[in-house]
Amino acid sequence: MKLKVENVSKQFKDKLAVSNVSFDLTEGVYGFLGANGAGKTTLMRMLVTLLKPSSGRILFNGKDIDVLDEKYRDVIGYLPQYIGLYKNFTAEKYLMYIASLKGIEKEKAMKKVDELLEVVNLSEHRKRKVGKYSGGMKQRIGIAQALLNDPKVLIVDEPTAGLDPKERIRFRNLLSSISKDRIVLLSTHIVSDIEFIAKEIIVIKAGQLIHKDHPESLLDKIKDKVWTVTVDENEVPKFQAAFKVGNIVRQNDGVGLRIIAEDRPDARAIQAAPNLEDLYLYYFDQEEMIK
Amino acid sequence: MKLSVENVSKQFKDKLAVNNVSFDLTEGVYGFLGANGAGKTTLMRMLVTLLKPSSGRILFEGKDIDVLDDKYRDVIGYLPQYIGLYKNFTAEKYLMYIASLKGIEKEQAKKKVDELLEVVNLSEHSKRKVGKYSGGMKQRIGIAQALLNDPKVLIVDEPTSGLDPKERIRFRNLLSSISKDRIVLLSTHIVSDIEFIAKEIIVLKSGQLIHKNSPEILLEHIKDKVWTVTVNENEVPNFQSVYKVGNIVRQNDGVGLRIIAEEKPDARALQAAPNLEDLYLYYFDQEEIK
Amino acid sequence: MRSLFKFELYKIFTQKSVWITFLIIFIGLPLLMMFSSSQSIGVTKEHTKAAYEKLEGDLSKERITKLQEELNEMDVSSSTSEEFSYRVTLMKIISEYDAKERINEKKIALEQEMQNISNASGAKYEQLTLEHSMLEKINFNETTYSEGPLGIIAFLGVGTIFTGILLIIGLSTIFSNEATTGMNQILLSSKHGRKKVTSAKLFAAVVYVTFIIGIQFIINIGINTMLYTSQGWSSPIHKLDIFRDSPYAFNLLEYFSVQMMLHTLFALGFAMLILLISSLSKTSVKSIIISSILFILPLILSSFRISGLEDFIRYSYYNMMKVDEFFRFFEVFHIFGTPVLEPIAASIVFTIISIVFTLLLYPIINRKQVS
Repeated sequence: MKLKVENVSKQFKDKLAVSNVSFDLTEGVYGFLGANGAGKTTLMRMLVTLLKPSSGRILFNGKDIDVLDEKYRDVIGYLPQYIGLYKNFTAEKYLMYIASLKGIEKEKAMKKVDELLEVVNLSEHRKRKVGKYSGGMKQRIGIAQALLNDPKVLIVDEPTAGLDPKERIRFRNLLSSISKDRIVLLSTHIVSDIEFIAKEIIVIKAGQLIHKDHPESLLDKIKDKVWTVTVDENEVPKFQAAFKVGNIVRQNDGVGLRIIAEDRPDARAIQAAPNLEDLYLYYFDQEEMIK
Repeated sequence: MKLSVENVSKQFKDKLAVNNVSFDLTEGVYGFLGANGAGKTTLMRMLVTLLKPSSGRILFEGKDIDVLDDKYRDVIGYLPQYIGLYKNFTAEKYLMYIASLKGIEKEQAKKKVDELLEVVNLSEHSKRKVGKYSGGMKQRIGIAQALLNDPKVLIVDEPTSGLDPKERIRFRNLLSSISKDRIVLLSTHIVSDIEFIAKEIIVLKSGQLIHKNSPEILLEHIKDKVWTVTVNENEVPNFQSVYKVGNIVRQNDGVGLRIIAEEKPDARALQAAPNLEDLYLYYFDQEEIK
Repeated sequence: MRSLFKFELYKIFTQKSVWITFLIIFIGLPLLMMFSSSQSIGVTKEHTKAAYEKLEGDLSKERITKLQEELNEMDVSSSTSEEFSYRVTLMKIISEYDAKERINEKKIALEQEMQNISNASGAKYEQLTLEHSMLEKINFNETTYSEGPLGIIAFLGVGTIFTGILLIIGLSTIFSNEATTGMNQILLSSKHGRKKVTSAKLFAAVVYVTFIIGIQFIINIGINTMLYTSQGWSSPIHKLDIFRDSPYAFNLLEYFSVQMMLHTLFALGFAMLILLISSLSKTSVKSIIISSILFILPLILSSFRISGLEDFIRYSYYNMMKVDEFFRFFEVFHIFGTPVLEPIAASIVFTIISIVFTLLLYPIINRKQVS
């Protein structure tokens, strides 16, 4: 199975949102990283036929998705960043409705809905109106609807925003359990959510693809640029002004800073194993970071 | 300056959302943690007069906020979790409108709006309609509106959800620069955002206050319960099923797991300095994580 | 406060639905009026005007007898547009004389009735005296060309529906939209977001009402004057068929002033009701539907003639904004023994109700919670 993005660009009235992007996706989870406004959502919308590329094309198993049309939509699942729900539908009714949109026949749909409500842990709330759901529950019903047709291609746009850590862990586990034999593309700002489950990371900046690689190879690039240092509380502003400071954590013995820098930022600093969040920060321009 | 919550409860039709909560806030940043549905938003809404407590009361400088009424609303700033916007207003007009709601006179409002648009880095988009804004931009305009009246009490409900790491760092820096002389109460799920700037952490669970303390003291509670271990990729599911696994990171030499456990989970495991995210996970029941 | 008020106006006037309705009504309407004035069969406005110029004058018995003879002698078979218009005008003038006679007969009947009542200080007697004295003041001795003023007065037939639609579309969302957009969270936690903003919305609503009535006023007068000239304002309203039995001694200009005043008053009252509904609705859709039902239902029911509902229909906002029903017949309410004319009583009662609605808004908004 292969989803191929070929020289795709998207021009809006006043902005080139996606600029000549090409990559291939095969089975597995892809983490999609990029600042807000970098073009992630636009690209994902093109992948689910909500937008048409201004130029270039997208091929699924070698065929243009524009030509495949319904056949392509039959194999995709999509969870948008802000999910649209009918407030006065119950979870069950909502899923049955989406099932009929996806052309699943009733008997099968009922089974599938039961199954998915179980998977996303909403069985006991199935008769409640989705308007009364919390943010995390809405996100889970969103995942359930995206999975209804057993999609070969699953596109999820910032699914963990607004979820609490418990829900994020549950979501991570859910995703790794369903990602076999599917192409999953997932965008997020909370890099730790995909750090482990992603086969590859795709980094997009100002509409352009700047990296697509295994997490290991990406991390290799910054392997000697991440430092941790435990400093005194009043030293913190000084470090913030001079370096890219990622996490700042309070520890019993002071304040722990995680710093991205080419050279050792302080005599006390020790090198740390880089993670994807470091990578993310590394790709910001220095000027963007300050203040 | 003191904001006191006194035995406050809020009963909704089918749910006791906040259950007899009491605490005092003084100048500084307070991190407000709790799972979704724990009652954080309900409590915050009571603090900004959008909801009335079913019982108990909230005092600002010793006076009931219900009695202070407009005088209290004059000193608060509020950023709701999902900010309401008029789609066809430009950012500038939107902020001018909020300024007039807050009773700021026009000349001063103009100055303040310019200043805040600069602070949240939206100056160049000030003439664009907010309906066309991205999620992160909406969040930033929300932060700007909350600060318009130079509030003494600033209540922000999950301000960083939807922001990218860069924006989150900018917001954190903004908040620490303005938090002097103000009471700031901030709820979040991304604990690292407040880890450093919070004077105290308030933890709410099922409507009840379970902790309010400085981060250092809270971290004491779990100081020998956090472990890191680097394992082989195929060992991961095994650890996930047995322990509370927080972060899972890929490293050059394998997969790094962060585990919350009373006892050493593995021979290779090393004790780690606990942070607030660990604390957060510690308070979840095992079964809830699934 | 001033800037808040301006913002509320801005919010009302930047609603696309308001402008779309405006365009449909106020571009479609003049076209329709001009189209229909040029299309009425047989009678043309030019020939009618010419006929009146020839026939205006006394409504004396002698003259009407002569006109009646002239009508009888006319050749009905060959009929140019000019002749036809002349004949229709003749008939109109003869029927105006009938209306005048009816008033005189009514006066005589009243006098007789008064003589039959022994108690000269009773309520019934006072009522009769009142009606008689009103009839006395009617001055209906001449006929003139008044097509312009008549057209202007008739406008409220459709104008009321326009006002109603524009009020519902423009004002239904005024409070409910804050709930729908989530702005309530910010408004209700801001210093002026509960009381002053309510006043600002109220004033903005008043300006909006005045504006839509003003626009209609200008279009109405403009088009009718253009089509028919503005002559004939001094004719009595009894010239109009629906006012044949009216006891009110208004000429067309006086009636038009009263009509506009009452239309505005009741439109304002309806606006306040819409605001109240909006403040109680969680969604804009609900608010629009409820307001629309309250406005349109009496209109629909009136065509079914269901007994028992007459008062409901008579005192519906639609009917009151149309104004004319109040002035067709002699209707009084006895308040503390004194007969009070219906339009006066209704204006007072509905003003009080509207003030109550307005005052209710404040506690509603002040107590509003967001959950």
